[in-house]
Amino acid sequence: MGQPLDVNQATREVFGNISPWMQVVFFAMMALSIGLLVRQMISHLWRWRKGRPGGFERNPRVWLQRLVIYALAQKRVHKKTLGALLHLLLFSGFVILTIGTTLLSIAHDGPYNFHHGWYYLIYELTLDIFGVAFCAGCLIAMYRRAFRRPPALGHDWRDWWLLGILLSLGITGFAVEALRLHYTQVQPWLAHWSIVGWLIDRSMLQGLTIGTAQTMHLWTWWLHTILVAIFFVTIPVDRFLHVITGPLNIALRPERPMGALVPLTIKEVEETGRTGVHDLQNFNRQQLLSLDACMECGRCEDACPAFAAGKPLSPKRVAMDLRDLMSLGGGDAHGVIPDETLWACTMCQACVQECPVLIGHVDLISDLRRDLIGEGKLFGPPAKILQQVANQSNPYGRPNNERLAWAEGLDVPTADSNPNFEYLLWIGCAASFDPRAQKIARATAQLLKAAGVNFAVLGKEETCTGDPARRIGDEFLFQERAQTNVATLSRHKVGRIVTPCPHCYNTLKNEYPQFGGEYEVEHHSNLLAKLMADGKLQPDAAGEETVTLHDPCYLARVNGEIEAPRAVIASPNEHKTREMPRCGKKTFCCGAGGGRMWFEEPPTQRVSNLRAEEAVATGAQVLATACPFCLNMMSDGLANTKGGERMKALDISEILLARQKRAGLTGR
Amino acid sequence: MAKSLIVIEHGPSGLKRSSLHPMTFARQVGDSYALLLLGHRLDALAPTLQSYDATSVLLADHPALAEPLADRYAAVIAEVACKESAQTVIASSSTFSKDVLPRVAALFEAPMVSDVLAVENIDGVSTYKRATHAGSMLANVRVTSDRCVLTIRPTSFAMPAPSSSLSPIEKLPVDETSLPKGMQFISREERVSDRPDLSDARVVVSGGRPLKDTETFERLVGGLADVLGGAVGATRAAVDCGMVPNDYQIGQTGKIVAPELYIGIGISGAIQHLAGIKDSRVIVAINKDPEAPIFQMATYGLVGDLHQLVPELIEALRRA
Repeated sequence: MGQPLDVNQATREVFGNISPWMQVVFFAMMALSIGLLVRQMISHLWRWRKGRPGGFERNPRVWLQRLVIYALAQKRVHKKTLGALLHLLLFSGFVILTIGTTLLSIAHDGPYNFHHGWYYLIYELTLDIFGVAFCAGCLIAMYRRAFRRPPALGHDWRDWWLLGILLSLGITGFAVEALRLHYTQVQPWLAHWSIVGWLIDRSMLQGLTIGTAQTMHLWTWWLHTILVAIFFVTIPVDRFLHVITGPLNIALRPERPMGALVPLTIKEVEETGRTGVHDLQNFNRQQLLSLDACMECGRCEDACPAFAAGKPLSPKRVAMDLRDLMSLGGGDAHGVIPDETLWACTMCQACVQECPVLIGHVDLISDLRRDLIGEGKLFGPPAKILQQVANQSNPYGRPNNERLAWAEGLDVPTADSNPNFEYLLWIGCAASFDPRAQKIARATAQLLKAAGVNFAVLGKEETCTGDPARRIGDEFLFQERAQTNVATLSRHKVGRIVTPCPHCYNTLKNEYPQFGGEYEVEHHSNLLAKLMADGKLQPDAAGEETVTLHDPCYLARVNGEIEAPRAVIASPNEHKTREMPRCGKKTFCCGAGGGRMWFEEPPTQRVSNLRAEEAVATGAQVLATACPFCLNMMSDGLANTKGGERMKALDISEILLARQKRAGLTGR
Repeated sequence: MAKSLIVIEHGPSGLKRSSLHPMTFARQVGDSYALLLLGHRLDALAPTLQSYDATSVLLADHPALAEPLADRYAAVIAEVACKESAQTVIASSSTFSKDVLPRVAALFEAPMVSDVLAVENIDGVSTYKRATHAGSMLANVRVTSDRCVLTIRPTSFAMPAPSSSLSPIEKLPVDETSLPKGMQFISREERVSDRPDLSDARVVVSGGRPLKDTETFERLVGGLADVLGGAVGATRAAVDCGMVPNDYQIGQTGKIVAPELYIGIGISGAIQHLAGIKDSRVIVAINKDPEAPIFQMATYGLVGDLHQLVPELIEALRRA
């Protein structure tokens, strides 16, 4: 006290209470601790190296971009939930405290000590604030685990260990600060900048002699540093591992459209003797790394329609079970993931979209399915579908030359009768052969004609895109279909394609480029919305019924098309459209994806029923869909749901056609 | 003239009529044939079989054969076939023959052709037609061995006409100790029904959810099936809500039917159901919604209230 108030003198002692030999012990301890951490991380690295080489993103710009978006800004973590809040507190606290400690050691041990003056004051205040955030995050996390116990999160004694050690680090840190302020007799104006320590000192340490405070400081300092050392060593055995592996996976996951699966080459099959993944080591190295990135937050499980419907699948469990197998040295992946789990996936990509560290659950499942197909382990209707795709070129097993049955009486131009078409209207098998879905094809064709679009269909030259085969896991059947269709499309010099099926849309747009087929592909919602905007379609929506839209996964989530289908069914009267709680990119699957359309399902496990209940709850009279499979599943779901009889499922094109007819269906 | 051995099937309700159809096949290729009946207490069943021009009606009657255990039955059938110097062993396609005949083929050291739809004599050699790839293609199969085991689709060969002459009945000795004992009979679960089996009925009447409850379903769908001598089927929705048992289900995840006449009552026609009926010769649909997709597939469609139409239809058919 009594010293002049000189900001430039503001600083504090570092190791002031720690004798030189103790400092040696401290550095040795930290070196050992970090050394052990590195050793464990190297053993993880060796586990990943057991996988097939490659699979990593190689573009550093992509790494950087992703690290900023997903690691630093944590785009996937933010939500209006307690979990997201506590993560923000913990994350920001941990990052700032780590940076602070690093800066301190640079200042102290480096050539130039900058740890004084205004810098020092702001440093102290910042670290104190984020220290509070960090402790608050720990406490909220403990509260959440103790009382809320979200089931998808999972609960283990190690979680308490981790939270306990983190909170202890925060508390001992502040205790060290308070005791230092006390025994060094820091002037109040300076002490105020270390606000938390100062408050502790003022409220709890008054009356303590300087000597006692100094001894207590020494012991608390040691407790704090020993906890830090233990914390480092235990990172690889608890959830904290994601702090290292998360950003690694975020940076290194290959950049690929969400809707595109990885092609398998005959060469790979010849080398490995397998299609897909049988042993854990058949996954590539990035996939193995991704397993270690999982911190078991459970967001994937909460989003999973199969899990919600009571099917034996949780994407989180898939990742965890494979990771546990990896920690045991690998082996038969089917030993830990039952076949029913793999078949239960609708490949709706909700889990992939949720995962904060960008784990590709659907790729893992797809690789394992390919092996099941290779081993002949698929039976019943879906196996028959594959046969029919192979033999009749459509999953319905109908003669392919009946492909134009839907067009009867409509005089629809074909690629032969109208070779100078602008748009190829790709109908898809469902709208070609399913009598209910044929109405989508009819409505779309009628609307395109009314708007004067120059289009043509392929007729019997169109065949299944191979989408169901690829999702079920029959990669080579898919590739055969893809090559055939690409050849047909090239022969007709197709440039632009429009299709009412989001699955065809996704495959044509995102997967055919893998086979040399590059087209400008649009979903019918997109083209219809444009025609409306251009005034080429002027529907009369007066007196229309209330509508809610079910976003198809492969349109909204996978390909980001959210506005167009809404524009098509938009009514001048806004009260006529209603949104379900899960809409847009957060849509909930109808249950038909991933080949599930053709699987047998017990009535208690139907995803479509859950979705139909959600739709009925909006009170709308019409459930609009933009996918023939969604239409099929939702019609079925409504029939199974109380109140579903008051609602009818229609494709957006059918709704628009009815409105257009009211306005007079004439070509412009 | 070659000789065939035809395995006849029976159950708690007596002889299975469809298992007699192989005789029509044998007559068509010009074989003489013996009939073989296996089981216990067969005396009541045997006389019916006497009037079909068989060279003999063979009875393997023993308590050890009371239940159709595939390993024992196959051993007996193969032994009888050798003893009778039969060249062909034939049975109708059924779960029974799927279970037993492949074993017979192995023991009898003969190739097997299953689900034969037709037989043709091409250049003096029998050529069997059978469906492959889920019925989308027909394969012509020729057997190069002089022995052969066949199952035939009962729907492809008519019920044989009875004759006035009586075939002799012959009881075969069965040595229980020589029978294999790898299988054990635990229990039998069978739905007793007077109606024909769904998979090979000539007429199928099927109902959907609008029938509301078991009683109405039985009265309308069952009633119409009975006046037409048909089998009863249902949609997945009707099965799901517990209106009818699981084995009624027709469609992608149920049975595939191809009757001469299919009548769908209160069925809108989801593609999953249509997948199970698409090969029916005549499809009749009764539904109150004129927009129902099933009408696009139906040969005849009737738009109206099924609760009014179906009873009238049953009444009219009864009077006819």
